[in-house]
Amino acid sequence: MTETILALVADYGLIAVFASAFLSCLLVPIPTALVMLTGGAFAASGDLSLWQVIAAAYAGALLGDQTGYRIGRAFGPAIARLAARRTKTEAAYAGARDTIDRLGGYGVFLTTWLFAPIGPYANIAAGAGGLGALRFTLWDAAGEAIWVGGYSGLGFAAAPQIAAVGEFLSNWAGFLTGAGLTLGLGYLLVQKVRQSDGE
Amino acid sequence: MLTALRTLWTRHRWLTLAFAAAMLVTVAFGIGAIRHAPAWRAPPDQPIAGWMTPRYVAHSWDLPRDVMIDALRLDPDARPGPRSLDRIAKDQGVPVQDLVDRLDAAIAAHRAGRE
Repeated sequence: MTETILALVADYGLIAVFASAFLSCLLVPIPTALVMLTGGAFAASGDLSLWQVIAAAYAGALLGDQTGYRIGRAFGPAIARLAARRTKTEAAYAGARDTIDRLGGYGVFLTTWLFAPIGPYANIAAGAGGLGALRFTLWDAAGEAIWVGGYSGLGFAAAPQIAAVGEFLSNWAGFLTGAGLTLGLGYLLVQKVRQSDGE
Repeated sequence: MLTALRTLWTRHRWLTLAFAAAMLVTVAFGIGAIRHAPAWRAPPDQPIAGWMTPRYVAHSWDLPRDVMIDALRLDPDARPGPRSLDRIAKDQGVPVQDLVDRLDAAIAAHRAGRE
């Protein structure tokens, strides 16, 4: 599977990089980090040019994120109606919207690169939760610049070892995302316990 | 402590389960990252594979262009766009392993010649 996708980068170049970045922002399970490493590595060996690899991946990622955000926005009202059926879910939904309004920008920023595996969900949530289009676009563009530039540049610099680097980085990304989730859920749990103690 | 755990389990079962699952996933990826870290620090030669382009092989194994072209039996005057070894093998009507073997032999010969 991975090898087939990498061969597509060799044979179709920038189109493959663009398509991979676009689709992986929409929950299609493509190893885009590895594709960008490979694009950078092919730039180092003279098959592609580095700035074009970065531009193609950046355009694909931004378009993909915007699409996810629009999908979330389209479903926002329906989710609100569903939530309004029960007082408890309505309160939870209001809380979620409030959190997205306060922290959504940072969330979108961090889930484009530091917690990239959950990025697609964050985009949809941001759209559904009513994060403003301008705020979404700016934070997203800033985060994707780090993601795209980082992986493409690393592929360029470490060209002969990208297979090993890619294997390590995909585990590392999973670890960071998992650690972030664990801390977040742990924080929620501690708050719940405090609330229970207070009663 | 125990009371707190019991409260969590009875009142916030899903949250507790999600927390435990997230922790397990984190540990699994952490182990994966540690396992693959040494391969990065002291990289072994990665095997030549079908997704690589001729230029990538030449760059990674420090092989001169004409040696690479010779090993792959490509036309030295043609300047086609990037192609994978998979596709070159298909065009030549040979299994990709043939190309890999030829490149391995060329790399070994080139390195022996330099020493």
